[in-house]
Amino acid sequence: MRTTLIIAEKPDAALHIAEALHPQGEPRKLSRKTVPVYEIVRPAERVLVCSALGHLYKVEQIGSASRGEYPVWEYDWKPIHASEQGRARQEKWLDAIAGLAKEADTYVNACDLDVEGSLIGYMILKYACNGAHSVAKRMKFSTLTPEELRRAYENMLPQLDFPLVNAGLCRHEVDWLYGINLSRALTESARRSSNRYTTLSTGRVQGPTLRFVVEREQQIETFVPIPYWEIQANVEINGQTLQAEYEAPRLDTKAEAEGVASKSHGKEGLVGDIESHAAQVPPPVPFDLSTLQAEAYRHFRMVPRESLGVAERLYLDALISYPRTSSQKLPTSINYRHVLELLSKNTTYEPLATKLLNTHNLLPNEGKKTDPAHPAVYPTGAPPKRPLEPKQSKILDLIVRRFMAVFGPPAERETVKATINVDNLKFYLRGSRILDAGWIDSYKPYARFEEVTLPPVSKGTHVKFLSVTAVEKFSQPPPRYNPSSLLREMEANEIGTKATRAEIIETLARRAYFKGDRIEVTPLGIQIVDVLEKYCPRVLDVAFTRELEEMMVDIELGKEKRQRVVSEAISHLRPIMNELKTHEQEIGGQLSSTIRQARAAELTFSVACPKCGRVLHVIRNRKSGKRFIGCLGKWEAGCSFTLPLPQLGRLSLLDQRCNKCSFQLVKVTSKGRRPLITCQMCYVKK
Amino acid sequence: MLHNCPICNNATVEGSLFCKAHDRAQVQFESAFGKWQHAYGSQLEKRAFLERLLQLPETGRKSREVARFLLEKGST
Repeated sequence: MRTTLIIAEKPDAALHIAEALHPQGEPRKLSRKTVPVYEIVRPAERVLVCSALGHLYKVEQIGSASRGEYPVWEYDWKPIHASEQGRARQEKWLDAIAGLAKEADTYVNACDLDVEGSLIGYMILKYACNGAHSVAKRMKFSTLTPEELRRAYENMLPQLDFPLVNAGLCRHEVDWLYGINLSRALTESARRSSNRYTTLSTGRVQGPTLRFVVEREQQIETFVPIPYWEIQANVEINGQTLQAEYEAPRLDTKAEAEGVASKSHGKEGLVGDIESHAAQVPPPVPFDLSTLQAEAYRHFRMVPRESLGVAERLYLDALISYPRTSSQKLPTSINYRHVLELLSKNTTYEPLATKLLNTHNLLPNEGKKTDPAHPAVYPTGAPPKRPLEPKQSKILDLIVRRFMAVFGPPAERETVKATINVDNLKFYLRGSRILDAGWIDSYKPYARFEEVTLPPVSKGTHVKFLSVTAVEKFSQPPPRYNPSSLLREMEANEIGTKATRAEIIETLARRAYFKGDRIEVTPLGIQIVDVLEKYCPRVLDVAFTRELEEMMVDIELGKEKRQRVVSEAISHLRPIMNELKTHEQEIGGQLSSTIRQARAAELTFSVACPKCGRVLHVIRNRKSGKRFIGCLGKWEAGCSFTLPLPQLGRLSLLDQRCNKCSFQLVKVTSKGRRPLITCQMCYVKK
Repeated sequence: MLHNCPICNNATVEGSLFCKAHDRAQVQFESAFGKWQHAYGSQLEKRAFLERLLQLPETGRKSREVARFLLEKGST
């Protein structure tokens, strides 16, 4: 009897696979060193199913260089527990897998079918299963439903998907080389200059992403508004008051705008041409990961990383297909009718699903994007086996309704435009209504169309211009990025992958390079971009990053060699590192002074400026380096309010107020001394 | 010879009175003032333009600082 060892990516996936392969769905649970393992005995075959815990191996520096030294070029793949503390669980997992491997003679990688999943399985098979990667097979599936898993087991690939494995190896190695070297250069420069440690990081994708945010910030900070005018007209038709729009939506000069207003105000016009136009609104396309993340942010304000986490949980519960996909295609092999039949058993979706099932030809409105490994995100139709958390319910509902909407008929919308002529000027009245809701019904409440009803008008109808005013307006600065729009920007520029973009945004926020949901870059973020721009602009170059991404995609397609791409990346990185090393002192000086200022800026008072009411901050004088309490209204309103501060010791602001004057108290701690708690307002008055 | 920006004390960019950020704001001013004169008429004075900019919430922080500096210097 042969023994087959199947390695899934996560414990939940292992359980689904084991249940699917057992005839009664009841595999025997074994426990190896408390690691869950499932056993299925089939005719002439014993199957053991275990799982990874995500990545169990990582790229690590080899040699005796300390963690602060750079550049480093020598690396190898090592178990995560060997280099990171608190990874005992991973160590136990690898030991258990190694033990199971000795019992097996056939090996299967059943991790998620993408670059990361292929790599996770490959590393385990290679290192923990004694080189089994060369004989292992590959299961391919997009959902964890029993039918698909059984089909995947019966139709395994005879070997691992090596192009994906090589792409994964290459991505991790190149990212490690860039990340470790550039981040160490920044961190060490700042540490050697200030003698204080602050983790600074950048990388192949982090750099260009941060640059997007910094450029947007600069556009906002240096924005100078330009005036323009809009004409607002209230007209009366058959006793009903309506708003009409002038033929030019905006006018550049005050004189022209006031001319239009004075020519038409109080006059009577006549309705001229009436144009009516019916247009079809096609259904939306199926969800790929980034459109799902964008919709989740738009409707639920869920940041991309959170919506991805929720979607992955739904996938592991076999409720949706694999979410890390860039496909907007729904192949017929997923059996639309079967999914809709399952959805029709849910009372919420029953009417819409039944309506679609009564359609003869179910044809999805597919988008252009494809993914070689997975279809678009779709629901399996299976009912949840446990109560879902509110966020999970929301994302599942969004995915279900989107899936049904893509099969819906186009919506039909009628727009009407009536022209009003007055004194050789043209105004318009616009109305719109939905003639046939089509797919919109399936996608409610996520699709909305506002209807504007016009009163009955015909050519020659008299229109009274009750009031016409020229309203002065100003151009607006570009909007700040939010996590969703930044992710879309990365995608549009083809940097990062669907799996890594959300994580990169989180890392940049964690490093305090930017903050807030409406992303605002910090002085440290600006300084990092400044330094990189000055000494290694290539690191910020989107085209260079994209070029590397394309090479890695070529590896996935079998058109490019991993070794060549890694060598190419190293040859680009070497001169950059030389430049950074040469200018370490200058870079350190710039970064550490910004870090110092950023730390001081964290010290914002909760009491307002007694002179102008604006925000009070701890400020460091750029020339003398001395700190003091200053008002942010200095440049806005010319406020000159300042208070002195003790120059030695670590400063922090307390929540307590002074009993005498109610000013916020300051605490100064110095080594070997009792902390000093002081009111600077009273100090000055003394 | 490099000087420091009179607003923020950072190093100035070559050929400018200001640092990189404030210089960028000042360049915006030049093209914007022409558009404002087109909009309100050529009699619009630079001082009125700068004062109005300080009142508008859309004006960027660096632009605001440059406007205040120019007004204080009276270099209008």
